[in-house]
Amino acid sequence: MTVDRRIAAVTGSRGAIEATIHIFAPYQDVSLDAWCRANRLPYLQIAAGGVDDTKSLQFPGAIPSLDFTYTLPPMYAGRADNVRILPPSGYMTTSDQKVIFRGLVGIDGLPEINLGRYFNRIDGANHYVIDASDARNVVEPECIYVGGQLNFGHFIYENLARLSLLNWLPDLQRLPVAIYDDLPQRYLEFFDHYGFAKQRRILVPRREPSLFRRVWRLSSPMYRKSRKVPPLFWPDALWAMRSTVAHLMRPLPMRRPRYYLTRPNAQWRRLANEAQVLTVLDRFGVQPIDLSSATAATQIATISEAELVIGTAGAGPAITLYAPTDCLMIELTCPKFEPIFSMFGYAALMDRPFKRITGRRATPEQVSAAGLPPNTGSLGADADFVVNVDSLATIMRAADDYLKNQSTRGAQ
Amino acid sequence: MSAADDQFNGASGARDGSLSRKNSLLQSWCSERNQAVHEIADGRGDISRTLVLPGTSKTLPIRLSRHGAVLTQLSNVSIDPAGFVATSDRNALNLRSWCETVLATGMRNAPAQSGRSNGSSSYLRDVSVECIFLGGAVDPGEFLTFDLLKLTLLDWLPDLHELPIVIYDDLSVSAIELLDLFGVTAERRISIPRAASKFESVWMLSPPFIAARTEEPVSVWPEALWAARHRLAFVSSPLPLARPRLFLGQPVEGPVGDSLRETLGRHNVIDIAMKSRGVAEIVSAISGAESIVVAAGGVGALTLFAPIDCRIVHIESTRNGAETGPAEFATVIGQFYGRISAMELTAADKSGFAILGQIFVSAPHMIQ
Repeated sequence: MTVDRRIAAVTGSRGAIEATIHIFAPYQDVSLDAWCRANRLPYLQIAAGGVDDTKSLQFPGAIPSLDFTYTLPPMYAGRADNVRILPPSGYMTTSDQKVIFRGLVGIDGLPEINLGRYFNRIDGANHYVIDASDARNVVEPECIYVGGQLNFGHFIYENLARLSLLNWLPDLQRLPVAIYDDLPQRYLEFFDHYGFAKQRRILVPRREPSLFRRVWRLSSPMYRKSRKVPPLFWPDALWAMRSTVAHLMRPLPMRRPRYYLTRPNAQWRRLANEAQVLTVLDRFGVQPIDLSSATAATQIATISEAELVIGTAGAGPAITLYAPTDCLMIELTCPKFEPIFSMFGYAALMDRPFKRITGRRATPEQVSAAGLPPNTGSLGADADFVVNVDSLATIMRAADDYLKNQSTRGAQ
Repeated sequence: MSAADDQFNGASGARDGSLSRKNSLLQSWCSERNQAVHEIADGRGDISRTLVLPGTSKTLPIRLSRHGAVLTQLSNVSIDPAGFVATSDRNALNLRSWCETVLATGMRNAPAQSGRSNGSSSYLRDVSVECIFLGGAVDPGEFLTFDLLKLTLLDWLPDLHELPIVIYDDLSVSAIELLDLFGVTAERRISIPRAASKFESVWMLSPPFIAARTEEPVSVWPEALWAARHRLAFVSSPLPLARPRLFLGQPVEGPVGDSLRETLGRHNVIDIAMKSRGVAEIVSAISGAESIVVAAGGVGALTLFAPIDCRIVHIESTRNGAETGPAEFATVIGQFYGRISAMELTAADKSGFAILGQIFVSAPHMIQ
């Protein structure tokens, strides 16, 4: 390896009980496409991308629509040999001092956040100084890298969604997937349902990079280049994710449920006036439900019956991917936080009715009155918040009228 | 017509075009008779989109209404080719299309003509095994759009995956190939003559499209379209560097046909149906197409499998206009779409040829 410059750094948990020596080196950012072609490795493109589309999200009642513009991403799979993958982001470095990540991570434009302790600095256009230490863990079998974020929403759209591409690439369907060794059981169940049972999973450590002898990288059907341009969305992947597990969805009951997705263990972005919100929702037959510890099959089956779902913006509402396509969606969110690849994006692509209610930052008194423990979030968008319950009641009334008018299943 | 007919097809059901409402009535009817009904999707709301054709001023606003999806199991019934199901208690249901247009022509006449609903017993075939009825239109485009897509409902009910599927014995070769591609291989098919047949236990699947009265929007269950694309994804090929431009449909005859062929040839458009050996090869080519020119003929329905960024130019037939299919697919999937009327391709008005030129000049053709 050619290393122009080495910087030793010591990091570790408080008290420096565990210290890690990082060796940093410069890497040039290249696309997987360019690198595969330069190295005569397989690269299979299945969608060209680059085209914009705009959807208009509606909601019952005289409420203005919300426009959503997205871009079709290029979709591809490429093979890389003898490469190192940095956890958990999936940045890939090569022995010829290249780093490959565009289209392969949640957002291209934030290497310092994506790379975390493996990042040192940006050294001019397309050049990054990042960790270059040798990988102790070596993955010998040919496999597909999926990794896996611990945040449920990111896990669904950033990791699991990639497996949809394999429908278009049947020759790769025989390969195992490489995933991180600390994914919760309920995440592993999603792999089971998508055809990757335990014997087809290779566990790799999240704590350190791994060297892969022969690994396939699948482009992301849902990601961002930066926050300044429209997000990228490949609708085929989203629909394929649904139909692959359609057998887990339930036939609709005569009386379809209305759910409020609770977050009892949330440590930030909490709804400080949840008690008042629940009182309003109860008037409209909405049941609070905590799906966060349920099995994957139960989560999918439960949400597949709903006629209305209310969720607080965050990881949990990612499960609405599996809700009926006519299900009404209401997202409660705090200022400065408007997630794309969850209720909002899924509603846009499935033409679901969608309404976003943006609250205001909760005062310390409101947080205290709600009995919430200290907020451990580090970002401005992690603030606890309150929503206007009168506005919520108005929106719920419009939704309720719509559902009653449309319903053929008797009064709710 | 019995009271039950009125329930399913008369004032309460057909007037609002809502499969959801009919589903509910069907649910009640079947539960009274201990017959299974599985509703896997409801049908609320519309899907609206203005279809555009890049490089041209062509726009086409489309509104589709959304309906649901239902599977129902019926015992001791007869089914005739018009889709009417006559039950042993002398009711007749229209379970082919839940369609008032069909209802007006078919429901009123078919039972009386066939004599099936009044106790006649001259059935051509008696199917005694539990099965799924598909039947199927002779026209391959209609078969894909109105029949084949029904099979996507089975994704939701794995318990039915082993059941045989009943089809008519005069389906086109391409229809049979599509069934193979959907995993319905010969050993799972039961072929029956296109005539009324009796079934001891049969599953009926609701259609993905309901062609409504002319003043009403076509009704669709969008998930069927995406599920079908997913189902045939394995046939697709990785994109070539130069994405193909394809012509799909029957050759246009006469001087207009000559001019059209000359125009398309100049822009490297390939007549895929003429050059391909079968449906799989056509779908494979379509899955990477940059542009597709669709002329009259059932094969145009295969644009369902075209990429989301594909440009689809639909040449309307002088007799039938544009068939249900490509425009509705584009509305759901998001493909670019525009129509050129037959009038725009005459010796007197050659504007259609100019539009074709604009489309191809503006198309990217090469992957960036």
